[in-house]
Amino acid sequence: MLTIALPTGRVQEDAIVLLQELGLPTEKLRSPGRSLVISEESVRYILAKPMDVPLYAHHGVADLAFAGSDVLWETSASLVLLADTGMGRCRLVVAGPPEMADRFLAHESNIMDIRVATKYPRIADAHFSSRGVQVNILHLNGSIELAPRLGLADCILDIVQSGNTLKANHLTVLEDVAPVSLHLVASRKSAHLQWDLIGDLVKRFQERKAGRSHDSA
Amino acid sequence: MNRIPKGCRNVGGSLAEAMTQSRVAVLGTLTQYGYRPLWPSGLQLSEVVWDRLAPHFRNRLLGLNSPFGEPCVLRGDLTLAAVAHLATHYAPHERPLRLCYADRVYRIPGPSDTELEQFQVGAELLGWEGTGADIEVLSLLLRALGRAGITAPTLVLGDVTIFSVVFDGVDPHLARALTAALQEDSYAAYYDMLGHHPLTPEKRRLLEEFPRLKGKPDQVFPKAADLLGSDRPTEALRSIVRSLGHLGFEDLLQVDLALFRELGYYSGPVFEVYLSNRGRALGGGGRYDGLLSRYGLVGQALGFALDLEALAKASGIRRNTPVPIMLWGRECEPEEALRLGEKLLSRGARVEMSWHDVQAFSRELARLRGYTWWIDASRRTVSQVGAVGDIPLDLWMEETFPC
Repeated sequence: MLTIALPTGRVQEDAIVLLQELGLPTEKLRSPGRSLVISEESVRYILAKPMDVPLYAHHGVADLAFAGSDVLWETSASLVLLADTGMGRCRLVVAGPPEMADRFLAHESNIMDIRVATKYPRIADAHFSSRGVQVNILHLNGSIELAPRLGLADCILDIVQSGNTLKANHLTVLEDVAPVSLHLVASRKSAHLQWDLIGDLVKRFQERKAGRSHDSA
Repeated sequence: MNRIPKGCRNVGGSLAEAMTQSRVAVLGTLTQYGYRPLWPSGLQLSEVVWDRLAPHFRNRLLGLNSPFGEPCVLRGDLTLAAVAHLATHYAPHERPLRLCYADRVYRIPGPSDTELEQFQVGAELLGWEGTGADIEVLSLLLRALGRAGITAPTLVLGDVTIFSVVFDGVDPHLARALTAALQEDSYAAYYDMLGHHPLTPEKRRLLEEFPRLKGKPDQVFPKAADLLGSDRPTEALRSIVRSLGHLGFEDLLQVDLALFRELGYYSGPVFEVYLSNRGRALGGGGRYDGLLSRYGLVGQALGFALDLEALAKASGIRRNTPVPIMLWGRECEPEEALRLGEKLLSRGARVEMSWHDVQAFSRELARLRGYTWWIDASRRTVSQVGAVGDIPLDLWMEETFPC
């Protein structure tokens, strides 16, 4: 039996569509009710908060998992990255009030010691450290966009999809950090010992991806 | 409040007992085969270990200064200590050297982990010893696991030298990038890179199929021969599998030709051990001749390390502990109680002495500690902990230790 961890929320539907395209059963998964563990045929699904999903595979509780590249970077879990699904695309960006834009374009000294609110403290630290900038990171769990508006932070580091939420909170993108998409990952143990099951899925996924790029060409 | 640093633990109780017994089981197996115990220094000089470890592993070392102002790290890896010991304590004609150890290592935990210190038990075979060395170390690993109560581990075997054959003729920059992708366990990056580089159809097929060669040896090796056009690149690995099979370990073996290990100093066969009821590897090891050469030594080196705590948790040792007894000696002469204790020990029991003034307290302590039997040394009676009534000691001994 394969155990697959799935993120709840924004990308859950994308993951279900993908599972269905790969030929896995998804009927019960589409109406799970309050269940967080769902068994269908020879697959067991675990529904978890996006930030927790990599841990299930890291500790070997799940054989496979779907997780955003943002979450994988933030948790730094030891996993086998099987494929970038290309779904759930968005961007990790630094955003802030428009008046911050000039400071980001100028010399790094202009943003030294700024306060950055984020759900991703490790990514924020890595990103600003790579620029040689020391910042004060404020770890928030949600509604990050409020922080600059209420004077809690100078800017934020967060994911942005359409940009509407940023606009509604009078924020603008100051710099891109990384593209984000949904990835298929496996625990190291499962990648070694259950490749007969996992490898087949990966192959089907790569064929599907190749077919799509062929179609679009 | 008596706290200890985050990420550290004082291990006691039945887990500590199981760890001690697992350690004895593994080291006992190894010392029978001539492996000598090594107690390495807890501190290592930064200048000695820095260039010998992969950059991502270096970043997990805990740095500190010794009181003498020398930049050091807390020992993050026991193999380096073993190689340094060989380099400094043994002349070339005294090799090979067989070492075993059970000690702590310290690594900064990743964001998904919490533990700063790990307990490792392992072995190293250093110096020239021919092909038999690989088989010796691997078979001893499996025998030691069996002695520790692990009856059906899975040993996953790979060989990093096969990569040089696979990447032969590939643009060196691409080969390095593909190797790095596999080293980082990123098949996504590996296949993405392949998709963006021009390659001959044969080479593309080889590079696409090669990381998928995982599974039982009898399925993987024929496919590998077909892909590589020859049996030769996998000869060393096949020889190991063949010998381990002859030793009766065939059912425990799997092959993964894309297997890499974290430490980054391996240069030949590598392996990891998995258990069915544990999500992560119990341990692993491999050949590291290249590391030996970085210490100015020529020859072959091979070793393994296991997570002692995980081994203890998975082992059946705790279920096989000798008859546990609390022996109350307060109402007789201490030497009389101790003599009785020795007699019980000689029959295979495990005895804890109790000298409490109040008999009821001693019985309660026995209950709290999970003992099965409580013995009154002065009256020479035995009672089952938690039950009412007692029986004469001689009768109980006849029934409990019939031999």
